[in-house]
Amino acid sequence: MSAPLSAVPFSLRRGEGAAALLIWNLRLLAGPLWLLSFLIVIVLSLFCNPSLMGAVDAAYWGERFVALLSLLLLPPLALLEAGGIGEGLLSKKQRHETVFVCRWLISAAWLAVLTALFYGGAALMGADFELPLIPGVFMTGLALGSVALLAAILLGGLSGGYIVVFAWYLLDWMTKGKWTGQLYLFSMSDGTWNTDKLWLLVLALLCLAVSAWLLPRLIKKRAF
Amino acid sequence: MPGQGGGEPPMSFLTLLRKEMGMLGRNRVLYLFLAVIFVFYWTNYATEESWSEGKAPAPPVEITEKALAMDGETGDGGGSQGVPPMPVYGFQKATDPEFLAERYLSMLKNDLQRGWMEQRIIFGAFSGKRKLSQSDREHMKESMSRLQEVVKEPSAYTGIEVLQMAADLDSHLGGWTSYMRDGVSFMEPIETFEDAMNMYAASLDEYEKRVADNGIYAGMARLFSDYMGLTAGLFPVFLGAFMMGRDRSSGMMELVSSRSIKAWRYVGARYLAHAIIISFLYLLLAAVGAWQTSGALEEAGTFGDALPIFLSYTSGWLLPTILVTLAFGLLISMAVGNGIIAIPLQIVWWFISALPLIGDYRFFKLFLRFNTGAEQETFYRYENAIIANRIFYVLLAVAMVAAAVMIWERKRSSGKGAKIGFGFRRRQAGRLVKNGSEG
Repeated sequence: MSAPLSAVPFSLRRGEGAAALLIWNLRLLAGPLWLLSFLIVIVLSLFCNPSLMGAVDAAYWGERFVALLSLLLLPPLALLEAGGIGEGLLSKKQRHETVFVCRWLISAAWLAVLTALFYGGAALMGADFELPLIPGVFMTGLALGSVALLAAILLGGLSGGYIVVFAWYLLDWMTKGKWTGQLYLFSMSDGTWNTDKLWLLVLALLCLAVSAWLLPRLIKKRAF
Repeated sequence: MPGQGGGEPPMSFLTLLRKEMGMLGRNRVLYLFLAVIFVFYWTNYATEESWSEGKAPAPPVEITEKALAMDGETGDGGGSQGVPPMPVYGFQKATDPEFLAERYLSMLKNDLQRGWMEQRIIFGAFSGKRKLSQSDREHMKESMSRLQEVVKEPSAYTGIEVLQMAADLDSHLGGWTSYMRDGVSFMEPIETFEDAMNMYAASLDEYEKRVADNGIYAGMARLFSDYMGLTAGLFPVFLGAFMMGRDRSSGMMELVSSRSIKAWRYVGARYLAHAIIISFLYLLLAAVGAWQTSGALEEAGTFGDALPIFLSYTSGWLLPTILVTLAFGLLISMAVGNGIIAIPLQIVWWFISALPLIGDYRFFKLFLRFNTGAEQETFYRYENAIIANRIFYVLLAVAMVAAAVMIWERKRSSGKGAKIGFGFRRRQAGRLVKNGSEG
């Protein structure tokens, strides 16, 4: 049963303010892909046998698989406005940059929840790890997703975003970071925690900034 | 009835195919795709390590005790500054039954002591660990007693027999354990110059057989196909999964749905255009590979000798993978109405196919690994399995495209055209427009 309207703040009912923005975008984003990402975390937790998991194994599952969940969450943000609704969106009072950053933050928060869920569950089931895996895997995922998002915006399609990011992923897998230096994705699986993960975070934030600046301009260009 | 609208006669299949190819040729993503597969070619295949597989092995240089003393090394290869001991002449794959049995015994003792073993999961796609059951322990103990017999009387056994004992144990344990064939490679040190010469003679013999059979370029083409198969089994899905989404994002779906065009013609032309162009890119890369390989291995023949071999291996080995990967993306995007869903599924299939590096060509292997330019005899042993696998994948691609065509037609006929490809439902679109409606 829905709450009486009087219980909802007036600004929210009118769709104003940060809370309204968050709620509307949360409703928009929390769809089948969020559910799928949640189910994948459950399946991974069942398959990886956490009771026998040490730090390196935990990092392996996190960096190689959990981090990939960001690719279900972030790149689709590039095409939410596809289909000729650009004129409508750009006439709104709220700047589209703000809306976009809000969506990115919501998706990033869900990624953080998924990562924490995976490691929290693993620890409960007996996994033994000390490395700060949750922030490390979260930053890895954020970088992968944000790069794919920016590439998808630039190339006007999700396929471009996925190609770029999987090229990076496979190259790191096969050459152990020989070509990517500090942006190596799997450093924790090698048993080391260093500041390299912060470079991935910086890259993610850079991609966010460029995407937020670029997307409204591209929508405008396509609309008019 | 859908498909009856439109006054113009429908385009012929070839015209449509040509138009689709032209449109794809102007797509920046295609050039990105080309750049990515070229990077993989450059970083994995076009390396000194690859070229060395097509060259005659170098004879070992005898190292005298005097030279060893000057280098500060010992006959055991012990380094002077805490470097782990290294044999003077390197390592070779172990074939001595006693050596192999001792190694397996040590592994079994270790597994029994800690109570768990390494076992890859989901058709070997992912590494994993499993606790030992009572039955596992019994099988392990039984294998240990057989291996102890080998240690007692090694001359009564061959190295192959010991490997088979381990492989038998692997099947009792459910497969994909460290005891499977090639699950672990045991290397034994080459201690003497005579042993090094024996190994050199065996390598030279294998190399000369390849030369006599004109098999150098064939081996290199297999290595090329092995590396490029890793890309062919993944990247085309990103094009396949979103190829039909273009109609939706450009707002053309309703128009397409009302045209009198047959589904197989419309979907088939788009699929075929993608398949032709992507296959062409791989064949182009095969030509580059042939050119570069012939430059690096001049003694094996000219570019003219290498080119047909590279092209035929690429056609037979890689193109079925490309066809299925594209068709899989198309089919899943048609079936669930969202191309993104194809990606995690494809990743799982990719991992299932990525290992082992040689010798497993069962029907669930999307791409075929043969991670060496040598071992021609091994290739001949698996040749039939490889051919059967490739034929199966061509047929699978046809079946997948046919299924995708049927789904497209059904969705068009039922008025659910808007759900084809990467599309949002109306409710979501409504939310989008309402989103941030503070304006």
